[in-house]
Amino acid sequence: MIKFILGYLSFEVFLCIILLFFFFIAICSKFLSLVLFKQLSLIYSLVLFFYCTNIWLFFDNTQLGYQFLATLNCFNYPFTLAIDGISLFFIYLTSLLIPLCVLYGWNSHNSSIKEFIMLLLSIELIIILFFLSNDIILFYIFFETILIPMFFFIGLYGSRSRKIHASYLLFMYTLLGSLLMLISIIIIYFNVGSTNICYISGLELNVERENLICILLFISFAVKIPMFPFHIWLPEAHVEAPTEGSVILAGLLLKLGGYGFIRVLIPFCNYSVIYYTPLIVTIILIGVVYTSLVTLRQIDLKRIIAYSSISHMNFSLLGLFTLNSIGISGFVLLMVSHGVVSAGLFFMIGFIYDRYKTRVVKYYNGIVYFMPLYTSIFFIFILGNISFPGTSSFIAEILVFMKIFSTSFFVLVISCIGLFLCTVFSIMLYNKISFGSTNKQFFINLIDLNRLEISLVIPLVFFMLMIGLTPNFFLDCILPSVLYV
Amino acid sequence: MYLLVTIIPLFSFFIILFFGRYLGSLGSCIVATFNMGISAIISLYLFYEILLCNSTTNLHLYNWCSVDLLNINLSLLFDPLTSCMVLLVSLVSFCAHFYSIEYMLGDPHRPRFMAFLSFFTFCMNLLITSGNLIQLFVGWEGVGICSYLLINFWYSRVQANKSAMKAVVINKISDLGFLMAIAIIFHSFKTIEFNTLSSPLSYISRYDEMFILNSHIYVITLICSLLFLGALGKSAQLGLHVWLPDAMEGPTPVSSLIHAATMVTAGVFLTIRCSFLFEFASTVLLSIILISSITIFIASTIGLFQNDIKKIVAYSTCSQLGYMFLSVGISGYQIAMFHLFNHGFFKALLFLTSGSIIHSLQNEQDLRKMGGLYKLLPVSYLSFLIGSLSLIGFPFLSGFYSKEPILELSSELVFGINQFSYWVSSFAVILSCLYSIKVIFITFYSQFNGFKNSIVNIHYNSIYITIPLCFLIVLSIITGFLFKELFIGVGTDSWQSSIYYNIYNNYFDAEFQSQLLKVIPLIMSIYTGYISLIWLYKLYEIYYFLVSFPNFSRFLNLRYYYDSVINVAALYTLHYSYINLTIFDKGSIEIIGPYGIKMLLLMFKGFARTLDTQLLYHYLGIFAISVALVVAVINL
Repeated sequence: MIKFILGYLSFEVFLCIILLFFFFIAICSKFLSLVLFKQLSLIYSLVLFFYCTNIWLFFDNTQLGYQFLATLNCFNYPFTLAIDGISLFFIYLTSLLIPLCVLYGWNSHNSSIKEFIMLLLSIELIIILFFLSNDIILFYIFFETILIPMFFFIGLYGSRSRKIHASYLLFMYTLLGSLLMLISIIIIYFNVGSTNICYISGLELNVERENLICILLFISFAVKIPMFPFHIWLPEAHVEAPTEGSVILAGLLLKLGGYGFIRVLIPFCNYSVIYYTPLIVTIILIGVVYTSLVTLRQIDLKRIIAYSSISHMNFSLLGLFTLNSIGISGFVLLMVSHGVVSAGLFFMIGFIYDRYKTRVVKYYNGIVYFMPLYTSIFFIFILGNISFPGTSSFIAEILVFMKIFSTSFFVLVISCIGLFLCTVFSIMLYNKISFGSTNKQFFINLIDLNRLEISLVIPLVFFMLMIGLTPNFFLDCILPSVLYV
Repeated sequence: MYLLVTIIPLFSFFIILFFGRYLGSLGSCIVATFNMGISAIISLYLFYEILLCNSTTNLHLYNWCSVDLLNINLSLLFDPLTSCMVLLVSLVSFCAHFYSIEYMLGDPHRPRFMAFLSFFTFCMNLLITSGNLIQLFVGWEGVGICSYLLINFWYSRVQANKSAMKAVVINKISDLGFLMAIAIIFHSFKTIEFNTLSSPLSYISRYDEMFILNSHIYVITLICSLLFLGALGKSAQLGLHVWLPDAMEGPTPVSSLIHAATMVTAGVFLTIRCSFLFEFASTVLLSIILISSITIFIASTIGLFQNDIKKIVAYSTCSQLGYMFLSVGISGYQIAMFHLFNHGFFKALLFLTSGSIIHSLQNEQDLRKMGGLYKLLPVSYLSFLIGSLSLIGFPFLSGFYSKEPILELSSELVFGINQFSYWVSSFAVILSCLYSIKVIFITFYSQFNGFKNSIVNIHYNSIYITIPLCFLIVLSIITGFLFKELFIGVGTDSWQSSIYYNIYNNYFDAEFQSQLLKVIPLIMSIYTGYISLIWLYKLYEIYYFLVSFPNFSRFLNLRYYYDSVINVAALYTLHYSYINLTIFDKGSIEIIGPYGIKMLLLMFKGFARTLDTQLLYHYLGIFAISVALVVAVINL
């Protein structure tokens, strides 16, 4: 029956259905009642998840290159959309996280829930189209457009007045980076004559020009990932965003930068990347160690996980710059697993924030006495953060680690320091919150996780364990596409 | 059969995890103990089949992860080394499970305890039976996290939380060393399976070298030193030993299982498993001898001045692990394995006995508050006495058969450091004798020194505690003699090819050495025992005289200030990260970023306001200047 549905609908039809249904919901939002609208949007996101699972099922791992090609002819210009092994999992991750966010916001934001869900669905649409795009103009458009809903998201639904500052930081930093990317796109277009990524991958340019393009593209993605000097928008944005915003930021938006690296930077500027690798690796290493050190002194729960996200993303970039199939598979897998684990951690923090309305770590002590289920699941996610074997981060980290030594021994040692500090603050955080003696005022909200929250967290735990225990499902699809790079 | 011994503990963990609510406290204990019993019986059969009947087995389960050249399988390797360790782990684990039925009797979290103990046994079995390095690492990290969960079992206690965090953090350092070693092994050997690891070894050891920071180092030396770093942390040798005494915060079955018999032996197991790697890196072996000798000595001296029963036994563990590493360093791997085997049993006995004493005295752990238990707790007295005698190396008990060969072999080496290690270890025999007798005397012989509550409510321990104790008493007496020829006899065939058997070592010389050298440790221990028992009060006076020097006793009581050094280092790290945060993150980077731009715009605001003067000729002037500038730029 599944085969019938997907065989019947080709990929372009699928895209059209997504878009049409989205606009349908957008228009209907005015007329429907609150509950019906919420249910409709949840059904929409779950159906999308179902389709993405089908795409994964029907993905052929024996083929190199892109599958599910579709061409849009807009303004007499053929734009191509395609999926390959790397973008497959990011699309899957997106379609996994958005229904969870819709579910999470079910009972909150009572006055403006419709706008909230519309923003969420538009973010989902833009990100999926971003990962689908095979054309550098579309890439750039969606890279920038994602900022608009995020700007509103953080600016409207954040928790305290610093949210304006945070959304401005996010917007300005990423915009500045994208402007540099625009310059490089223009240079590339005037050299190649086409904007299709497949055509441009064979780009051969003057050394100085290629270096220039490489630097510009690098800065624009470095802001997104975030790398060392451009990372301060991330803690602010994470802290001020609502929980769903943090989940989307950590789970998806950071991956845009990484995806850009592997899709745009490395195929286009081959020699420049090899030339600049020592400099880039130095910046990455500073990022890993520096952000881990800074995390030790934070007192805001979300800020700790935000800095930890920076550290993990930078570590995965180390895998990318080994320029080796094992390393790059590790990079992709680490990004996917980081999406799942950070989303879980932010959901956990959201649960506790909903109950006690504070995120300062100093107030939390001894949660385990009346929220043991919460503590156990939080422990599983913390294990994912420190790359305990059996979770997804372990496999990815092993793959990256195996190849870092080929770069140099020094890089291995410094990244080990970063990993060690990651364990230190993760265990410190977990221990501080869960154990110890407890305060009187905690007994006011004596509720463990309710059914909604469990159903949010179980898929994430399942995926983390699935990637950790059977990574071959994922690696079979990733590896051919990585070899292509 | 082979898979069962690994999987059964996991099975019992999941049963208790999901159905513990329905099974109840006693039900989950029964489930766990029963499963461990089955596992122990199977491991006995495996011991017979693999070690005695010489049949090594490889089980390839499934392909966990395969990318390019990296092929990680879930595979079990059952060779004589494995079966020996599995027997030890299963038996001690069974004893610990059985024991904790009674020990944790009133505790509402007893099912959780049983579940964690089972999970720990599973991780340890995974470590032992693994067929490749990554699976060993999985078990390695698993036992680390299990030790966190178990030390932190009574999580309302601040000291327990601190100790658990310390254990995880220090184990992570060793984990990272091990992981680095795996990365380098994969880079050089292009494989991580134990079966294929020894093939390219002779080529790599001679021709593979690299330059680190301008100094030349052989790859094999780097690999082995990183492996040893991993073993250092797990087995609590000198640099990373600080977590072991603090790990006594957990319940006593935890201490006996994890910190006596199994987890701390994981480091020794790793070095013995990779013995053929270590054989080609003689520099690393030299440093192992040095570090282990120093550990033997220092751990004993610290243990002498402790006041808690469990801490003294913990330091004695640390010291005995030093013996095992010493044996590894002098290339007597089978002696190290034999000592590991024996030590597991009598150390578990010592821990469980101290647990039974603590349990009888209403959880009184301080040594100085006990005494006179010779008549009151005869079973505990008997087991502690036999355990201590075995530890000291009393003739014909099991410790004698494993400790003496180490000392003999270490006196037989031909390069300079052997004499140092021999004399240091022999002196440490005196010290081990001293602290064992100290504990026995203060706990059992002297006057009772505790609170009224302890002595009024004293009770015999029930059958659940005495049966494991008796079992371990029997084992710690017989295992030495029973397995001596099998494990360390000259020219024995039982190890097959699992351990590197160094043919250049002078085992014959060690066996037929001069009587004097052989007998020195024995004489030292017996003489010390004799002196301390006869002239005990004099010894006590010396002890109090030493302790009365405040700085000296503080030095030893605070364990050579090592903890303080680590505390200061951690404090500096935190302080530095605070500086990082304020000066860089909220300082310079913000000045380049938003804050700086804001200040610039604010400064610019005043200037921009003055430009707008509403006078026409001002505007015309600015217009003319800018046109001139544009024309100039275009012409350039």
